[in-house]
Amino acid sequence: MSDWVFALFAMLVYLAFAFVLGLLAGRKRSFWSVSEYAVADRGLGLIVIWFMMGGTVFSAFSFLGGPGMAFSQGAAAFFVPAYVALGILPWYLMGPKVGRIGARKNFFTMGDFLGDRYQSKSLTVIVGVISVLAFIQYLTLQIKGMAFIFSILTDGVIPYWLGALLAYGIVIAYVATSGVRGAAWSDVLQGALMLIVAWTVGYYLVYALQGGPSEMFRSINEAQPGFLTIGHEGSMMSPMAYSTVILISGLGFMMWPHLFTKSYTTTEKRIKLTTLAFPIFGVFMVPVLFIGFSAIGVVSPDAIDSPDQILPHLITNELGANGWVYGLIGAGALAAAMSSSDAITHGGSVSLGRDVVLPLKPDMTERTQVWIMRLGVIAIGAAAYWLAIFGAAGIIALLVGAYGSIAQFVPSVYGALIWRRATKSGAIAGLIVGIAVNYYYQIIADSTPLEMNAGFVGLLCNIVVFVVVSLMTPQVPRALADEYKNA
Amino acid sequence: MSSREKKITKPYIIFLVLLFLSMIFPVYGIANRVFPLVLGLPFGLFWIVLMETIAFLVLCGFYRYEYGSKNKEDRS
Repeated sequence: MSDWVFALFAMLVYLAFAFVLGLLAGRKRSFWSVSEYAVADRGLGLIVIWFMMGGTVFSAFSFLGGPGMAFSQGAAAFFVPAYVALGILPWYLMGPKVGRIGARKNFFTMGDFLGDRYQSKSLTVIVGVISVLAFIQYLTLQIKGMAFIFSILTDGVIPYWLGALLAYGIVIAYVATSGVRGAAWSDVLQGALMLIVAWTVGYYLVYALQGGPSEMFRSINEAQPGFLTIGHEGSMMSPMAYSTVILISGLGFMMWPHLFTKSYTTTEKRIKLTTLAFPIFGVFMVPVLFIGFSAIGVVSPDAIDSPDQILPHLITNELGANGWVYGLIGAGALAAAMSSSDAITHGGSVSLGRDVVLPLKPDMTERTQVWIMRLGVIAIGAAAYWLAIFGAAGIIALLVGAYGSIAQFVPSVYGALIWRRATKSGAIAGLIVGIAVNYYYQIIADSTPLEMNAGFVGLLCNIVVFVVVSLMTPQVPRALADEYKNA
Repeated sequence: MSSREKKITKPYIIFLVLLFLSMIFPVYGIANRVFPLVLGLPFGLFWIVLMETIAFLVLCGFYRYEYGSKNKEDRS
């Protein structure tokens, strides 16, 4: 039997498991409660929340974009393990505060939080719309990753559109029925699987192709001096670009609404324990980069269309392994893409229902809200699927592009928690300026001042506008500002 | 907010700022080289792993202070 049959079989077995687990997770829970659908009645357990946060971070990027970046840009890829660990650390202080406020005021989203603190429904809607758009962008790249894995590991027998439909269809089904619990429990399976696969494949490739990590890095350094450092002759990234991409990704990390709202899903103690374990997740990312480094000198850059294809290329051309190994790698990569997609699809559906539709039509019953969120899963899923199959763009540009806009929430969110004087006009003006500047430098302009990251330039402008406009406009009631600051 | 949580806020922010600084330039400049290879990693990458390990240990310290065995009455 050919290898692709084994690969397909292994991937289908994995998909079946993920599907059943996701569906079972929502059993015997109230189907019509917004609180259950959105935040699991604020009661997720430690292991589940741990894998959920971790699994969400390990996306298709880990198996495709990350290795591709190591292969094509060398040390610039070090930013991945760095920001993963840094990004969640502010949660140790911020999470419990947001959780307490959320439990007291019955919040489910980031829009709820900002809208109440700044007394502005328009802010809620702006945050909701930006989130949903960023989510769709982010999802598109996960779906592309799934489709790509399916198609290449089955020798093209499963076409692009069908692979994406199979894998993502399952995500949609369990998120729509089981809500956040479905996403969380399937992440436990997916997280464990992809960690095992990433480490095994990373180390296996390094030893098989290069004779070990030390030998590998020595020979890369000899062949391409400077490639493994930042800003030296032969490096692919300047110190400023590297530093600002870490800052913007690290600061912006918890601003992703699907991560931010996890503050509502569990207890303070578990938030802190999750944060505590996260720097180790950063270390887990290192073998992922090994995959890309191991291909240097083995695969010619001209042999692949884009660096993202390096792992599939290695599997099919250099490994010469049997179908079971193909299947295992395929399942691991699918798991990585799916564990991000479920959390993002879920987050998008809650943002859509709660932050975009509810403020426009405030008299909805809870039952209607839940319906809108569940239908939102399908709407967002369909949009992302369509973009993934018919639209086009590189994986990394897409991720960093969405990231730039999300990080613009930083001043409003931290302002709400630490600065009484922060006002609605300041928050909205800062947000709009930040996003406009980010888009200008990312899409229209050819270069940024001092080679800073586009999102970072946006954030600097955002902060200035936020502070100046806040000082010029009337503040929210003192008691409200105090409640957020002292929570 | 528990009294211990209040007490750690400032030290935690300082820890956070230091950790960010260690990963970006100019501080990262001292680690920005290939040799010596440690654990098979270029020094620049090893530095990141090292900082993350340190961060993990420091966080354990913070957590122990807040929820550790001597502090049973504050547990939630």
